[in-house]
Amino acid sequence: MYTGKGFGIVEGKATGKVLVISSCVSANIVVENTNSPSFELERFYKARSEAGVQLQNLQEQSATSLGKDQAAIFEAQTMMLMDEDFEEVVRELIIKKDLSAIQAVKAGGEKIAAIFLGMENEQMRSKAADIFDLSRRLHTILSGQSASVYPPEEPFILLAKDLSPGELMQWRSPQLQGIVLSGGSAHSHLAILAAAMKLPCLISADIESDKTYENKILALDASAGMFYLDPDKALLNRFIQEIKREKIKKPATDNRPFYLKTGEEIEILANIGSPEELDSVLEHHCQGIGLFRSEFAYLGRLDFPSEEELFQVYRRLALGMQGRKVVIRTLDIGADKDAPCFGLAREENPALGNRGIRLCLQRQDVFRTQLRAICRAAAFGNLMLMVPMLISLDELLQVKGLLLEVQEELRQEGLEIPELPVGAMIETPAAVMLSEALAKEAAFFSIGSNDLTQYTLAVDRQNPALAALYRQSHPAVFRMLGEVMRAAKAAQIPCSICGELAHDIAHTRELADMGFRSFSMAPVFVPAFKKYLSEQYLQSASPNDTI
Amino acid sequence: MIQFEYTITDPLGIHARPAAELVKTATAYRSSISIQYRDKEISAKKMIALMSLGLKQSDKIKLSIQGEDEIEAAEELKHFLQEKL
Repeated sequence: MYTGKGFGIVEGKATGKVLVISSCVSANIVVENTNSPSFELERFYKARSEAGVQLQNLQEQSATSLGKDQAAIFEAQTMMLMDEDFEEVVRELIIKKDLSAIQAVKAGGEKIAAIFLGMENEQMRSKAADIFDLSRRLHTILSGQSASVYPPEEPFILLAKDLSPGELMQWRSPQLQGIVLSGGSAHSHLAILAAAMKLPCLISADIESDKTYENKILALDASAGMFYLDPDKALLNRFIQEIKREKIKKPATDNRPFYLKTGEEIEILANIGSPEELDSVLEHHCQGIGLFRSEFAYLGRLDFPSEEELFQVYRRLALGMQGRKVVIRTLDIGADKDAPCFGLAREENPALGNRGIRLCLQRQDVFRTQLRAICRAAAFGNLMLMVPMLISLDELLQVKGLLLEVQEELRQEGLEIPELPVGAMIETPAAVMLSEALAKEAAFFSIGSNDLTQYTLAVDRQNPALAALYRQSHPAVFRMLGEVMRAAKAAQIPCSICGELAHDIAHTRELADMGFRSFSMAPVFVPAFKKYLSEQYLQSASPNDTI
Repeated sequence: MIQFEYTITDPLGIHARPAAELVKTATAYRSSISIQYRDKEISAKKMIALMSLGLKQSDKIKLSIQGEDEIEAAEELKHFLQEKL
């Protein structure tokens, strides 16, 4: 079994056989005799109209099954395909350079993509992917490769360096379970499509898209940012059971509130990693976003996202949730994440390394940009800030200090900046031991049970040999939870839980007895969790007729 | 000929989807429509050329429209830019 990590941009679990997709443009150039330029030109035009028909079909398919925005991606590609400049470049290569149609679409595509790759702005650079996609499509048609490729008849997971929207649509089938990309970008159109199709998707995964992995079984846990190649039987069965449970969905998810005997309401919040998941948060009637992992905007890129770009993301969340709360966890990046913009050196032990709030306090230039974007977006909804990886009160105070500076700066610029509650993510034993002091300065607590378990038990959660030891329900972990809850109650601040433990219905009762009222989980787990609540002693009704 | 200037307000600049819409709007007219940005001038009917300008928020562009339906074209393009970009 090989265990690897990545960053989940669409949450959920999946299992299936690996299907490796390698982009054929650079991989295999078909060597062929060049015929007369007029013959090659004619081949190009024929291939172009066929590609046009394919894109038209993709556009119609996605319009009916996914939506207008998704369809627009293919419309834009059609326009690039039919573009006069592209045609002119290819014509010239065929007529003047005596290239074959295949060689010309490849060289022409590269030439145009180079224009975009040369731009300073990441968003523009990512347009090169669209051009490569077109030239790949034409190449496939010209070399006659496409006709015989069909999605497999059994559950499968796509493994690739990167995927274009067109490729994803090509492999779309009821058997497609998930996507693992070694590259991938948060700006890609792929993220939008994968979220719309509800396909668990991991980017920046530490695995090569190597043909030798083909047909191996892969278990994907995008919510935890993990995958297992050749998983052992126990793990695979656990995944299959959990996925089955996730699928127990009523036609419409229960939107009734749930109450305890005491009349207190149970709050169900969502963990998400990308704004594309907003729809599923609303669909599952979550009362807010309990954990927004803000890393996605920084992954896989050489430059830092601009304040404006981040502002747009946070504003979209704030508006999308229509006044319900959105907890943004500040940047939690370390040497194990693919964020070349930080230029982090490799670390022996990234879980204990320069990450989370430690890195942010060192790179205040980057951190300030994020804080400014959050403060500005806070005017559009109910945003809160959560600080990860805390081990001291001083770190929390430093963040609050920086935040005050940034808010003052923005007010000086004439903006109206609302209050922004700052909460502490409790995920280190140090934070647990200091929870009494932290509770006096934090507006709320949220327990990250995944890391808290790993750090409390000194068990690496990625080490398959220790999988049996990694238990979030370990009594030592529960003692920690009790300690944190006690401190939160004493200071009268809310305390929620957002790790895997939050949706583990085997322990919900115990957590509720301890005082937990707020559970944050990936949207896919919400239906099963609500089903449990409605069946158990936690009654779903108005407070008056509870038991 | 009608000419007017416009400053991009969309924080994401002119990205693929609105670019496609702009080209679609422009090609619906017979008039020649060009966009000038700094020292470059391109046809608004060409998708790749338009995107290669790499237009960002607060970049100022100048549109020139010439032809039989220039009045209607200018009207619709102005409206489109204000609404979408």
